[in-house]
Amino acid sequence: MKKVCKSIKKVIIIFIIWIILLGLQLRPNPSYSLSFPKDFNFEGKLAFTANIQGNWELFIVTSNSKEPVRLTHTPHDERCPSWSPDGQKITYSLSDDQIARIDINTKKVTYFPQLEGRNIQPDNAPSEDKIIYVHLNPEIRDETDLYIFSMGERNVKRFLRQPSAQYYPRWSPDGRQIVYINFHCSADCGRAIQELWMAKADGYNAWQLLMTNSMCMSPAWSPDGEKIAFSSDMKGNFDIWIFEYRKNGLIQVTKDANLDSHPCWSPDGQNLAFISNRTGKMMIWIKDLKTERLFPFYPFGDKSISCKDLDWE
Amino acid sequence: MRKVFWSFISIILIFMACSPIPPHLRDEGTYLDDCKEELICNVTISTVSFNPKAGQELGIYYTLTHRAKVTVQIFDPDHGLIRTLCRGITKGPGEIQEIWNGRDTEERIVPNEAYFFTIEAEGPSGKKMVYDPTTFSGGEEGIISEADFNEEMGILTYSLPEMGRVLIRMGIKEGALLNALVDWEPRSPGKINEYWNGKDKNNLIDLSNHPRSKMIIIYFALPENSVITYGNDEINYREYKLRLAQNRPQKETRPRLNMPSRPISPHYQLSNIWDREPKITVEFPLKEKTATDDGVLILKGKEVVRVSLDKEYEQFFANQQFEISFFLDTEYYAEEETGYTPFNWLWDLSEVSPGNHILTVNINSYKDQIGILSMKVIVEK
Repeated sequence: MKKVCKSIKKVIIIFIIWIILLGLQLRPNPSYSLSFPKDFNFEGKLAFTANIQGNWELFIVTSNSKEPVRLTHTPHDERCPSWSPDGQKITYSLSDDQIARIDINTKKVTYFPQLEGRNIQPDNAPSEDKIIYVHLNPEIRDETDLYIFSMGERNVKRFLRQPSAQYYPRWSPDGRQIVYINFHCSADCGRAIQELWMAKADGYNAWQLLMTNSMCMSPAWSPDGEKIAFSSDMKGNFDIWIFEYRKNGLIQVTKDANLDSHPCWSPDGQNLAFISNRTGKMMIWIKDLKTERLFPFYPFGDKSISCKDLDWE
Repeated sequence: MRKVFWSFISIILIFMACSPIPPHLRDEGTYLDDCKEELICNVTISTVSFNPKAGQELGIYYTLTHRAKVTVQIFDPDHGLIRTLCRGITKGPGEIQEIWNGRDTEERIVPNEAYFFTIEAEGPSGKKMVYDPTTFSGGEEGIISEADFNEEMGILTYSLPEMGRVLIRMGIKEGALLNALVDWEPRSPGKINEYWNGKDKNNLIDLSNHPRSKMIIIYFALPENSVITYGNDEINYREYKLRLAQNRPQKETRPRLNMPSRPISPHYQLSNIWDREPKITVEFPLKEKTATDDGVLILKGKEVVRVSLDKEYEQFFANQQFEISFFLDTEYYAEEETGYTPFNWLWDLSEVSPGNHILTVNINSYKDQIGILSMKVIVEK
């Protein structure tokens, strides 16, 4: 009898140990949530889109997040997120060419019926509640205009009168200037040429910043307003570049043979996040501009989930 | 007697001085006047195309003006090494012949494509010469402005003035691109017949009789002495390069030595693996759709149209950047300038008249690769 009891006790102990071990295996993998390097201090809030189930949804990660927060659940694509000045809302465009705004706390989505036609690539002004966006000309292919929508007054005003197509408008941190991309030519030049332009916020003065003879895209102001990061294929493939526009300096930040695009600055201006498909999938990468350390960021811990369209608040 | 003897010797000596010296006894001076100072000259081939699977072979002929160590190599259109016919073998002087059986280094029959070769020679005094046709030929753009279509026979005929890589695209003027009949394929010079049923890629539209149909036939020249292989129906060039020949050495890069007679096509510089029409798919992932008996989708309200690039093309196209265009009944309808994949377009069908329609999607990279797909849909209110 004693022997039987001893055996039962052993079995129970082994069973308890097994349960504990099983529990340890089943606990959430700490590497699933926000896989930054241990010594990387993530600050602020990063908005991005990710392809979870065949379409692109809007997500955010914050310095307090353990995992990405999904903001949208739609069958179409959300794109081009832009943080509002108070950091509580995100303005973005949809794949039906509407612009919407979502409150990250309530997840309530607001549409703007005042914005007629097809509109993409919104950007929030830094201190006023207005957005600049790209309006696609319904009559002429490859022709766009930049418009400003004031949220408070609910009025729409054309920003710039410039022929051809303008894309990716971005307010400077002080709100006085707007950098954007102007389309120069395509087949006539033997290749697509889009260059960086700047305009005063009143829309009456615009000038070309660079003559790269390449396809430039997705400019992003540094938080101190001294630099503009952008993507360009001037060296044969799309890399991230920084234009120090007051010093007229141009620095190549990435040198991979694949696409690097859509840069955005960390709040302290020390890091650049961008999208790269160097692994075969569109992913978020972060580069420390001081140490030159470069690492991928898998917000879902899963390397198979593609991400794109960033904004770092 | 002595006079006769010395006269006879003199005659022999005079005769020898006037006779040409046999080639194998020469080691200095030119071999043939027309080769001038060249170590390699008179490079020709026996045929412009051959079928290795049928046992046919290619003869490569050249002249060496001096004895030399020779290396002859065959390359694919992306300058990957296919086979070394000889390496550092002493040959010449004289007319030399090499034979290529259309097989690669692993004795596999090469896929149907255009190939070229190089000859490197090093003479006894250390003088080197390389015959590399890419240094003086290839890539020159050309346009074919005349073609005949025999609708009954289903044959499109045109003349190609030189060996080249040909592109034939068809569509609607200021509308959709509907067919890439020939997608940068190599063709021999002369009269070319292409089989075409007169329709678009998906056999929905009678292009040949459309009042606004448009066709372009363009080409760029292949390097001198290129040869086209045919007859291999087991593997195409793309599969061969991606699966079997990924790690082959590349031909040494050499600069162009002459000014081209015509502009060089930008497609000449692109990879033949990727400079093609990509495969695309179009789906309607929302559940509320039905199909007719012949599989035509019935759409209403707002539908999500999901456009995807084939996985193999995703990275290449993302690197080029691309745009996605939608056409309804061949007319421009909508466009996504900064394309991505998968792209989920929300189509508001309230703007579309009820009935049968053809939706066409074009995916255009900024380096001129274009994916095409058309499908019938029925719109209901």
